[in-house]
This record gives sequence, structure tokens and C-alpha cells, in this order.
Amino acid sequence: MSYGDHDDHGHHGSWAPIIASLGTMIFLYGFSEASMGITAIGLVVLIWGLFTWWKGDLPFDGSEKMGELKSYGTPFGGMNIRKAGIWLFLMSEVMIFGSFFGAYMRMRTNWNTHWTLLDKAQEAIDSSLAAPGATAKSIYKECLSEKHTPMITQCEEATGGLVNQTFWHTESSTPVYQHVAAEYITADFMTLLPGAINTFALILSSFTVVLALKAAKNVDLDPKVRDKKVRNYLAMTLMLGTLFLILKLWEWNHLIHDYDFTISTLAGSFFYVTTGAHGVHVFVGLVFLTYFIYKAHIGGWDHNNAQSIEYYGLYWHFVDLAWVIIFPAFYLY
Amino acid sequence: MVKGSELMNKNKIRVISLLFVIFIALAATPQMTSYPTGVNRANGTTGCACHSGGAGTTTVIVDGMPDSFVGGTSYELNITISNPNIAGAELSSNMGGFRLFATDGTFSAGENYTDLVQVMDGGITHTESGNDMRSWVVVWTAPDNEGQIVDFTVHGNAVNGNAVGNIPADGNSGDKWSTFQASIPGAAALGGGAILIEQAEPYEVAIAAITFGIALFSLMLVYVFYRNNPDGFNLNGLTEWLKKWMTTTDHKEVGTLYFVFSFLFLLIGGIFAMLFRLQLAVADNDFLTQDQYNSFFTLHGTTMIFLAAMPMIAAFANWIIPLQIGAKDLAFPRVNAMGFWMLAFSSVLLYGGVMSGEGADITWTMYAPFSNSLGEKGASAGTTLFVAGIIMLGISSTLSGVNFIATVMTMRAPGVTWMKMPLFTWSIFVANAMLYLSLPALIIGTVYLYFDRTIGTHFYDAAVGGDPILWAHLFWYFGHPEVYVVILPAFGVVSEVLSTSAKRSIFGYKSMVYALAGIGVLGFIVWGHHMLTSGMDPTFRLIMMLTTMLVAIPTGVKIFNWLATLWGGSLVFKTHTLWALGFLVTFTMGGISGMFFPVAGLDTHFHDTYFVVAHFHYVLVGGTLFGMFSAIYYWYPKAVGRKLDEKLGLLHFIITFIAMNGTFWPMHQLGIEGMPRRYHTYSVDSWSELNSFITMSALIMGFAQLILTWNIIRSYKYGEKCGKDPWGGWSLEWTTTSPPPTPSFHEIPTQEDDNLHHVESTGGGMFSRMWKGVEPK
Repeated sequence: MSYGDHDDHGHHGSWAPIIASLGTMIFLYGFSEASMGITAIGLVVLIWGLFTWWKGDLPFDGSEKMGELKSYGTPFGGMNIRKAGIWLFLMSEVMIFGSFFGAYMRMRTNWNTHWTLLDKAQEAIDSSLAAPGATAKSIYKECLSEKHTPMITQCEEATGGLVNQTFWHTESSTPVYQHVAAEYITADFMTLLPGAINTFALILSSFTVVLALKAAKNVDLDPKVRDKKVRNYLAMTLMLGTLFLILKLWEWNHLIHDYDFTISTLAGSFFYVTTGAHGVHVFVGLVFLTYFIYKAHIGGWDHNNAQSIEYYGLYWHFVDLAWVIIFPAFYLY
Repeated sequence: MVKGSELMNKNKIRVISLLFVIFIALAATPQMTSYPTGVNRANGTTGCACHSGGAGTTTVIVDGMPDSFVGGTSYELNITISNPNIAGAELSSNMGGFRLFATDGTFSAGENYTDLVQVMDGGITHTESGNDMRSWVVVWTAPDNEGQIVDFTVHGNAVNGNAVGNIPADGNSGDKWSTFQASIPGAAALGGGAILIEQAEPYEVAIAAITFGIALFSLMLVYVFYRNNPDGFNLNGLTEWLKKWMTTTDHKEVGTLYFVFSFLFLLIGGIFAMLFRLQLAVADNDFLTQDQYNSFFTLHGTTMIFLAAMPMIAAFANWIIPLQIGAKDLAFPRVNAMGFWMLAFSSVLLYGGVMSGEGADITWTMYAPFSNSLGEKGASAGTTLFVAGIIMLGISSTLSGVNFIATVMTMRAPGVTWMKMPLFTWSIFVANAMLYLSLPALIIGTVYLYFDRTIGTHFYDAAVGGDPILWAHLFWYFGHPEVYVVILPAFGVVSEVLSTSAKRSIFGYKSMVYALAGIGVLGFIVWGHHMLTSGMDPTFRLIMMLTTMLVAIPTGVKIFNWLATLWGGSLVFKTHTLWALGFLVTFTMGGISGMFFPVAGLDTHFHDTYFVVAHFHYVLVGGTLFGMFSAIYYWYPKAVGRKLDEKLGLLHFIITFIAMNGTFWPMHQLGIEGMPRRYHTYSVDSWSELNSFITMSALIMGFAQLILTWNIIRSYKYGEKCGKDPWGGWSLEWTTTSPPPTPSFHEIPTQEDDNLHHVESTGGGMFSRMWKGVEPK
């Protein structure tokens, strides 16, 4: 078995890994020390590393079309290795958003404290403080609303005063329950609107990526028409992604200034960090897309290498899918 | 010829000047740390101008300093100086003096002290009549700006009074003064990390750390380059050589980078361990301060897990996996190189705080709510950099994880099917799959922590409803798979080594694979046993208790399979065999002591005692490290083409094995007696004896590693030369030359059956024939 001629040229060294890593370090150092200057330098070095990486693919003279490495054996036999790689990468992304989600649901469902509440309810029953016939579960249900908001007065009644105001408060008497983003967002149509538009923008952008892929793979098209089509569809994706980020920033601004909903509350921490992390994923996608558009502009795509658009599309669909879950959980629930 | 020698001279001058610059940089580095340790001379000359008796043992104490100040509030400060050697004048005149400075705020005299102290030049000092005493009360009114940190400097002079009646020139003789320094943050400075961190002066710290690191590293590189080829030692050759290593994407070269890096940090982590073992040798010791102790054991843990164990595993995975599965390289060579460089640069962030005396002190588990707390009572300022370093480590492991999983899944040569894959490859595959799926939880956890420390989120801050236990869940969801990530590759190495040394195939190959996979699955549902005392749901406690005990089953299967492999084989005692046998003993003991913790009742007693320390060191040193040592002796000939010295290897093994047990076995006893871990000292005298013994053993174990270091360096040049397959191994890495070419295979090889191989080469053991039904040829 042979992988073809491509691999036998030996190894091409690359400066990209060390530069990008150095950039990441400088970026994190600057951010840690709250120094905008160093952070910016780090970002520049990081992007320099990224461009060095891409430069390895230039000048699109056909040398990169000599064939990709193919997988051998189960389970990915015959598939391009890069495709297997992107699927594996998405597996990690699923766990990333899974962690965001798990932590958020833990906060929203009082999962960390619900058993103490059940415990107190049982104590109320055992000491006959609760109404006759009540069970721990029925008391629990009276204590929390459907949205897991503590019903402080009802709960105090149901447990005969055992679970009172202090149970729901922390040491510094800040209420345990805090207003979540969804309350502000659903209260007012104009606040919900950007999120709703964003959802459709992302779904539509997933579609335009597929159109770009289809155009690039179409061997019947005249190369010039094909290049133009690919470029335009990719540019459309870029515009929709940019629209998403702009609307998101507008919406954050609105929440912070009109509703005073900031990251200094627990619910705000979860909301801004999770949606922000998703925004960073969109942004990274847009950076790659800019390079792809440039490549399309100079006629770099055809049916031989269009699978790169497909792999990018897999990532982009995932970002889209993550939003489809984040939107109801953070904006509506 | 003349021109040639001139060129040589020029190069010599270049290299010598380069070395000169490096030495200057090394010498200058200590001056660049951000906390000056000496007396502030500018203040000293104004404050103690007439008291130049000399710095001495005088103690200066200031009572009444708040932990943080509120703007405009007045604080009463009691300044006391004492020096038992200087009694002062008989008539209780001229006993001492003081000079107090603060970078902000105003001073005034305390009640009843208006005639005794006076405000002078922005500070406060005693008056002529105020030097007949050694204790004063002054009032400091805090500035309105609470967002800053005010630094205090107090010079105290203990005076012997010989100036009375003498001429002034003699007046200072025998007086001793010293300085006390303190910082008080404003109330607002506690809230946001950004302001507090200025204390560490980022630029100076960065310059110090980078200069030191680069200087030391360059020195080492120049030396290695010189040793490699003493004749071709010139600057052009050096830069070419450096460029090759900095840009390499070849799996063998990246593997070597990983190995050198991990070995370096293994020694550094060991030095930390020896330092704090010295501190713990006797009761009430004060060799290290609390802060030093905290930061040293934090860095010991993190270094050993993330910068020594995992990179060493990655080193062998890089080197061996493509060879074992018959691939020319890894699936994504550039991604692989990036994984290494991310790791290398993250170490700078992890160690960033140490240079300023503000090293992270949050333990490798980084528990909230301490790790996210800021200010005087919170975690030290270097913690923010440390957490950033952990995020970078996460990126690094994700990159290398995707690479190994993809390589094993897609690039196996003909004959290397899933159920005929060598067990080392299987172990790396399972370990990386576990790491890859659990790591996101750590990344998200540390990102939350990082934001808590930098941009003011409150994920773990209980005061506003945040949840510190969330950190424990996220950390241990990663942390427990992580301990399997570092032990499974050792399983793989031991399987390879034992079967090769016993000259037969591994006993129960299929059950070995299922056991690995079983551990891989179970590893994800046991994390709660680290948190049994955290106050989580009792039902959850029960579930975690049961699942944890289940892990013993696949692990037991593996141990019995190894024993059965020995039973059926004809064992050859090479150094790598000794390490593998040592692994069987110590790892089994570590595994058994581990079975005490899932029992919630017992765990309540053992939690955070030295019993835990004993357990996980038996598993990590006696398991992972012994396995990796075995791998070093086993695969060194493949990488270098020369064997390591067997006599030195035997010496290394015997000393390390005995010293390792001497170090960690007594910790069981101490733990049962209740000695808590993570405390910088203890007051129970009866613990001193065992602790001294542990310290001595630890030092012996530490120094024994120099034998290995010497062995590796020496054998590189002078080791016994060897061919393709010095040990009689079966898998594909032994079919290529030592060292292998680049790309590692010109023709993709085909793997034969392991039983056939062993039968052919040795005639086969009795059990090999009996169990596998293979007839000898």
C-alpha cells in the first residue's frame, strides 16, 4: 500500500506552530495582566502564525491538489483523513458546549441544592410542621415555580416556617435567585428581535456554504463563472455571520445599559460567557472564511480541493447547531 | 588556509560573545524580580541619616494594620521595636527610633503621643524626646482612592544609648536598625483583579522570566549542538540546527522535543519535591515559609502531571505509534508540532508568578473558592498567569489528542487490525480518547476561573450565589479520566515489555483490550469519589462509590494477565524488564490502597491526609513513572541506535525502587494517624521520625535520577550499538532501522501474527503453544 507520491517528498518544516503558540502565550499573558498592549501584540503574533500556516498552501499552483491522504481500515476506510480529523474535532466541541450547558443547567435547576430542600421538606413532615398529607415532593414543588424561581412565601407556609427567607439567601444576604437573561429578553419584543434574526441568519449561512461547495464541485461550469459563484456564496456567508455578530453586540449593549444586566451577577456570568464563547466560534469561522473568499477570488477552488469547503462547512454547521440549542436555553427559557 | 583560519577566529569570537551575553543576562536576571528585597536606600538616607549604626537583628513590629483600608478612615498603628542584645541606656533615655513612610495617606500622632512623634517629609518619625522608648502610636489616615495599594516602609533603630554624654561621632556604634515592609490594598482594589495585579509589575516580571528562560535554554542548546558535532561548531551551523528543531514536523523529532522537555521538568518537579520534603523533615520546621511551601507543592503537582508525565507519554506516543502501526507519520504533522509548542510556552505562564515571589498557591486541583479569590487573603497574584497556562495546556492536549486518535483510526498498515494492534498503541488510543473527551470540562472550568479572576464574573463566588462545587465537578470530570490518561500508557508499555521479555505473546490479548476500553468507559462515571466530603447529594455519593469500585475489575484482569504472561514465558531480565516487574509490585499496592477511598465512610477519615498522598504516589510514581522508565530503557535503542548501559540501569532501578517504597510507604501510617496533606508544617513530635525517614528516602530517590540522566547522555555517544531488533520484539517498530529513516517507512509494512513471530524466534514457550494452539515450526 502506498499513499502516493505526495508524502515521499519528506517533511516540510513549518514556522507556523511555534509562532502561533508564542502568540497565544503573549495574548494570555497580556490578558492576565490586564494590559491591552501586550494582548494586542499577542493577537497579532497569533494571526501571523495563522497566515504562515496558510502561506504553506499558496500559491494555489496545483501542488496542493496532488491528493489527500486517504484513511485505511475500519472505521473510516476510504475517507479523507482530514475529514475524520474534523469530525473528531467536532466531538471535542460538543463536549465544550456540553460543559457550558451542564454548568448552566446546574445553576438554573438548583440541582446543586435541590436535595437540601428535599431534606428540609422531610424534616418539616417529620416534625409535623407541614400540612398533613404533604409529601417531600409536593412541598418541593410548592417551593419552586416552573422556572425554578423560589416561591419564598409559599414555601415558608408549606414547611411551617422551616424553610424561610434565610434559606434562600447566601451569607451576604444576596438573593440566591437572580434574574436571568430570558426574563429581560422575552419581556420586550425589540430585545428578542435580534436573537430571532440571528437564528435565521445562521441557518441561512449554513445553506450558502453548501451552495458554495456545490458550485465549487460542479465540473460543468466555466471556471470563471464557477470562481465567481463560489466567491459570492462565501461572501454571502461572511455577511450573514457578520450580521450575527453585530446584532449580538447590539443586544449585549442593550441588556447592559437598558436592563443593567451585567456579568457581575451569576446569571449574567453564564449568559455572557456562553454566548460570548459561541460568538468567538463564529468570529474564528469568519476569519477562515475571509481566507477562503480570497482564495476563491484568485480562482483557487475547483472539484479537486473543494472538500476543504466541506470541512469548513461541517464546522460552520456545528456552530449553527450550537446556536439552535443556546437560543432557546438562554433566550427563551 | 589563512582565510579559513580567520573565518574560524571570527566564529569563535561570535560564539564567545554570545556566551558572554548569556552569562551577563543570567547574572542580571535576579535583579529583575519585581519585589526588591533590600532596604530602600532613598528612604533610609532621609530617615536614618543620623543613625548609621548598621543593619542588624532588630525586630520591627507594626500592629493595627487593616487587611484593606477604607478611604478617609483613620487607623491607629502601634510600632514596636525590640532587640534583646541591645539594652538601651540606663536612664531609659535614647533607646530607639523609627521612621515610617507610606506611598499615600497622611500621618498624625496618636493620642498621648503628640510630643513624642512628628510628621516629617511625607512620613512620620520620633521627636527628640520620643527616642527614650521603643514603642509609639501613630495615626494613619487612608487616602480617598480605594483602588490602589499603599506600601508601608518602617525603619526601626534599637539604640544602646552610648551617645548620652559622649561626642556624637560615637553615638551610633552598637546601634542596629532594620526595616519592615507591608502593603495594604484599598477596599476597591480587592474587587477587581486588574488593579491588584499591577503590584507584580508585569513588564519587569515578563522581562525577568523571559531573559532567564531564554538564557538558560540557549546555553543548554549551544552545548548540545557542540557535543553533537564539535568540528562543525559555528554560528551558521547553530542557527540552521536550531531552525530545524523549531520548525520540525517530523513525528520522531517532535517526540524528541517532547522527551527532552518532559525530562527537564521531571527533574525540576523533583527539586520542588525535595525542597518541601526538607521542610517537612521535622516538626515545626521553618525551612520554607508558608507561601513558598504552598507555591512549591502546587508547582510540583502541576509540573509532574502536565509538564512531566503527559509530555513523556506524548514523547513515546509520537515516536512509537506511527512505527507500531506502520504509518509514515502522524495524521496532522503541523498540528502535532503546534501541540508541543503550546505546551512549551504554557510552562512560561505556569512559572510566571514564581519569578516575582507570587507563585500560584492553589494546588494542582485549583479548588474554588480559594483559587478565584483576590486580594490579600486570596490566592497569590501569579495564580492568574497559572490559570492561563492551564488553558494553554488544554489547547495543547486537544491538538495532540485529535492527532493521535485520527492516526490510530485511519493510518494502520495492513495486518494491524483493531484486534491485532499492539497494546501500547491501544493504551495510547484509549488514553487519548479519554483525555480528548474530558478535557473540555477542564477548559471550561478554567475559563470560568480565569474570568472570575480577570473580568469580574462570579461563577464560583458563593457570596453572590455562585457555586464553588461547580468547579470541583468540572475539574474532577476531567481530573479522574486524567489519572487514567497517565496510567494507561504505562499499562501499554508494561504489556509490550513483559511479552517481549518473556519471549511470548501477551496472555489474554482480547481481555486486555476490553479491560483498557472498560477502564476508558468507567473512568467517566467515577469522578464524584474525589468529592465525597464536599456535601453533594447522598444518592450521587452512593452511585459514585459503586462505579469507582467497579474500576478494580478491569484493572485486576490486567494484573492477572501480566502475571500469566510471566508464567508461560521464559523471562529475560533486562533493565526494562526490571522496571516492568517493579511496576507490577508497586502499582498493585497503589491500586489496593486506592480501594479505601470510594467507601464514603472511610474516605471521610482519609480525605486530605497523607494516606491519599501515599496512594496516588504509589500509582503515579510506582505506576506511571516506572512504566515510563521501562519505556526509556526499552525504546532508547530504537531512537538512538545504541543501548543504554545495563549496569547503570540496574543501579538506577535498585536505588529508585527501594527509595520509592521508603518514601511513600510510611505515608500510609502518617495518613492513618491523621497527618493532613498540604500543610506547611506540623506540631506532632511523634510524626517527626517517619517524616525524617521519608525525607531521606526522597532525597536518595531524587539523586538516583542523576544516574539515569548520566546514562542517557553517555549512551548517546558510547552506548553499545544495536541492530533493528535488540530485544526480540514483535511489533512493527522493530522491523525498521534504528534510528528509523524519514519518512519512517519507505514501503508500508505488513504486520505478522505475534505468536508466529515468537514461535519462530525462540521455539515458543509451553503456554504459548498450549493456549494459542500454535505449533512450533
